[in-house]
Amino acid sequence: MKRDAILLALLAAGAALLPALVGEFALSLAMACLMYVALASSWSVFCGSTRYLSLATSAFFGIGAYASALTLEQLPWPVVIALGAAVAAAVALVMGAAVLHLRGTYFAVLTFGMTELIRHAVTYFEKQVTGTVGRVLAVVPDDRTVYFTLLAIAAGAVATAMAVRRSRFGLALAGIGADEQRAQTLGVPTRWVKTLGFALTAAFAGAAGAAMAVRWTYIDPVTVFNPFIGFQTVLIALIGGAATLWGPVAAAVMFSVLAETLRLQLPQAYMMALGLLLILSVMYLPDGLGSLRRETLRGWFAARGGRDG
Amino acid sequence: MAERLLDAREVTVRFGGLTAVDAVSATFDTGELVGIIGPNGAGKTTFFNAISGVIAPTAGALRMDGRDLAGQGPHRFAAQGVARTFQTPRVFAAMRVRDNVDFGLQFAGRHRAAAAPALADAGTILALIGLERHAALPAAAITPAQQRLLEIGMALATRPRLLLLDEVAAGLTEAEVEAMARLIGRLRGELGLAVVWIEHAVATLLRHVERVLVLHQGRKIADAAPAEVVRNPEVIDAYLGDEVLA
Repeated sequence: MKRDAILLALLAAGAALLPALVGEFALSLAMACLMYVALASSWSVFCGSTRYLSLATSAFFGIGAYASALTLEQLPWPVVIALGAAVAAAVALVMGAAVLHLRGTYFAVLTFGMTELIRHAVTYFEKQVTGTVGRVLAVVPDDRTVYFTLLAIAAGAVATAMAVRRSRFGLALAGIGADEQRAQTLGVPTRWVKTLGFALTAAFAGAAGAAMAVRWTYIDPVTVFNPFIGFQTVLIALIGGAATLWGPVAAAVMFSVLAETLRLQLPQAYMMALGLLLILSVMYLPDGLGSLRRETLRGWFAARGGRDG
Repeated sequence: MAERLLDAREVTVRFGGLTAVDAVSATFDTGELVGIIGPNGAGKTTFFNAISGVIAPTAGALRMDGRDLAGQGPHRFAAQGVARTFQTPRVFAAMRVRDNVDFGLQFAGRHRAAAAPALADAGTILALIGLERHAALPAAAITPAQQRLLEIGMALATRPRLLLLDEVAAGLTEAEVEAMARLIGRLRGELGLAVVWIEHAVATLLRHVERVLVLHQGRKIADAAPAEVVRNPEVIDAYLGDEVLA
């Protein structure tokens, strides 16, 4: 546990040096990495341990982005980010109360449905009330500010994941994932624990959305409520290993680098790589990259050696 | 003087058109060892589900300390000191044996004082159920008979007043059944728990309990000492053709 904290501190310190060392393109790539580290780590805190597969990440991200767009000119930057987190968490509390009694596919589909509902509601509201669909963000913080904000959110997400794992709250989440009813008969107030865990995940997605909104300068519901953000978060967490601490972090970096380098030139190649990695990881590493141990590798090589010999 | 723990009044559970438990009333006091028997489908487990909060009764009251808990979740029952095991052991397979026991201590057991030194911590509970040597193994790695013991240990970790055991002796060998009966006797005697024990093997159960409830088609048809129950014509009728009571 102490080793994890030291590793996080070293990684964060390394990342903090980046703006002084690299150019604009690399910095923008690093921001995409940090965004997905925040999204995938916080998703795993709740969904990885309880096995409630939420597809609502893009809803919370989008809510954060809109909260940011609406208040950017009136409020100080840290307050804008906190507000994005708070509004997303509040929506998650309501959404969680409505859908967290469902499990498995039903839960996944409903969270996706609610995401679409929120996106269309925002679109409708913008058309009817403000008379425009998109919003232009005229005055935005500089790249460095956004970078350090994202770094703080990502490091905060990993630190939160670490703290939750060793807490009673984390134990309750793990019990819900193992056997929800059994955990409840042993005294876990499951409804509360699930709703709070869901809101915690949403808060980080909202904060990330609030920070990223200013990167686009023009936002509309299609961009910030893009379901692909939610899907990619789930894929990253699953491929990395949603039950592990560092799996989602490693996978988030890997994917963001892949996405940014391939997507512009070869969008199909990126999607194919994503699909292929998911298939391989489900087949050979069902618990994700983070579950990879020396024994696993030895097992693979032993099997191969056995065939050769 | 025995204390009234649970007063179940006219508890009814309906699933659609089927009445699984039909207006069953029963009381359980501290230090009692009560058996529940009945043919297959008599509603034994459904009655347990109702009095442990796992399913909400369609009608009826479940009074504990003067409050009606009917309709509340299992965690509320656990907080009031009702603990249970499940027919098929539901241990946390990936967690270590010790952590399985510790789980209850972290939640319902945390807010309840240990009634006896044996419930002080995970170590003493493991010693009580005889699994201390397996403490570090994953729960998936121990035998089914040991998992049944672990289920009891998990329930004890909530520091209950009323312990509901659902077929904990099913599938055990003769010697294991006797050991289980001795353990249950100790839980009642040393810890002062009220124990309610469902068992399909009627003969075994009747040897060990001092009071037995007989359920038949969801209704309670007898509630008396074993010697009296086996002479009850309605009970004999319900079990007609079943040689266990003969």
